[in-house]
Amino acid sequence: MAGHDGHGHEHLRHVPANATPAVFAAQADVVFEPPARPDQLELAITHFFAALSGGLTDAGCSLVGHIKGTLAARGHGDLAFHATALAVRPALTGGIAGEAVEAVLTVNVIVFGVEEQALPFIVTTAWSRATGAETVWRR
Amino acid sequence: MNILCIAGFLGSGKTTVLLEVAHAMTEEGWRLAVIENEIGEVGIDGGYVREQGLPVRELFGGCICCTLQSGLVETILAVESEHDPDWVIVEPTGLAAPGDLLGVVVDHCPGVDTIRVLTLVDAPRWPMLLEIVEPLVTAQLETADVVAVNKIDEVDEEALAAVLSSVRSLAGKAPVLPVSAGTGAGMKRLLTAVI
Repeated sequence: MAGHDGHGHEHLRHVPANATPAVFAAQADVVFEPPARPDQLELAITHFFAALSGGLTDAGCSLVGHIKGTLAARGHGDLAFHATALAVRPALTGGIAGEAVEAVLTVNVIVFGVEEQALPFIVTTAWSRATGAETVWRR
Repeated sequence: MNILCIAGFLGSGKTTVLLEVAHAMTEEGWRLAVIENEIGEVGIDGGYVREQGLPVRELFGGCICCTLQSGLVETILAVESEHDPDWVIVEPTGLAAPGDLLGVVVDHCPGVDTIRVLTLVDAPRWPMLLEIVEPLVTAQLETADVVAVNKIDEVDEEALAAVLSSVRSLAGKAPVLPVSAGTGAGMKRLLTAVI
């Protein structure tokens, strides 16, 4: 996975061994069929957060560093989302004008208490289950 | 050339405050450049800051306080050469300890006149962060020249007093200023303290 963290975590000398952050940062090409209206895209992000919260909770998440990202539709603007806790409505900024067919999803998740190897599956599964959109994660 | 490092744990509001500081510096007539660092290999904040009209360099896939120290030096030298800025604002990852990058900059970037560190504290989450990642968040305070306790609009008076007391006990001589980058409360005082 493109964003699967591989930098060695040398910085973790500042962090207790039992509070290791897992990082997932990646982009995906998304196709909405039928095209999605702006309100449907906002709902998709909200559903994604709900599914992701469930997956992270089940995986033992003890702390959210951040969950943030953008959904960008070429020529139609982008919708940014952000949260620092589970089971909350994400803060949404910006927006996509008109109906979106193709979009690029960028996601950056840093959480504590979750196995790093498990995080890509948790995030990508949450997106697929929440939106049902055809999604190709970039490698 | 001067450097302002805006440090703080993940989600503490670094990018929001960065844009406020950059706006104030631009109004003073200073030339700016921004260096954004993100641990993952795909960034979010750099594009957002660039959309605000600021020249941005991004460092992905590591932390400039440890794994990307050489990349930070190269980037500062490149920014100095290309933009000749009065100020370079550096936003490290929320997992960085700013003290670890100060020595690197001092040793390898001769064009840097001063380095200031502004550390942000996430007021609503401070008790939890202190419990789970105390070594990191205290390290982020130790080298701060100014500390901003952010998101004060999200806590009540009693909780804020407790956070301020806790942070002041860890921040040494650095002034600790309560702010809300979201509502603008305290931001004027913070900008005066920083620039």
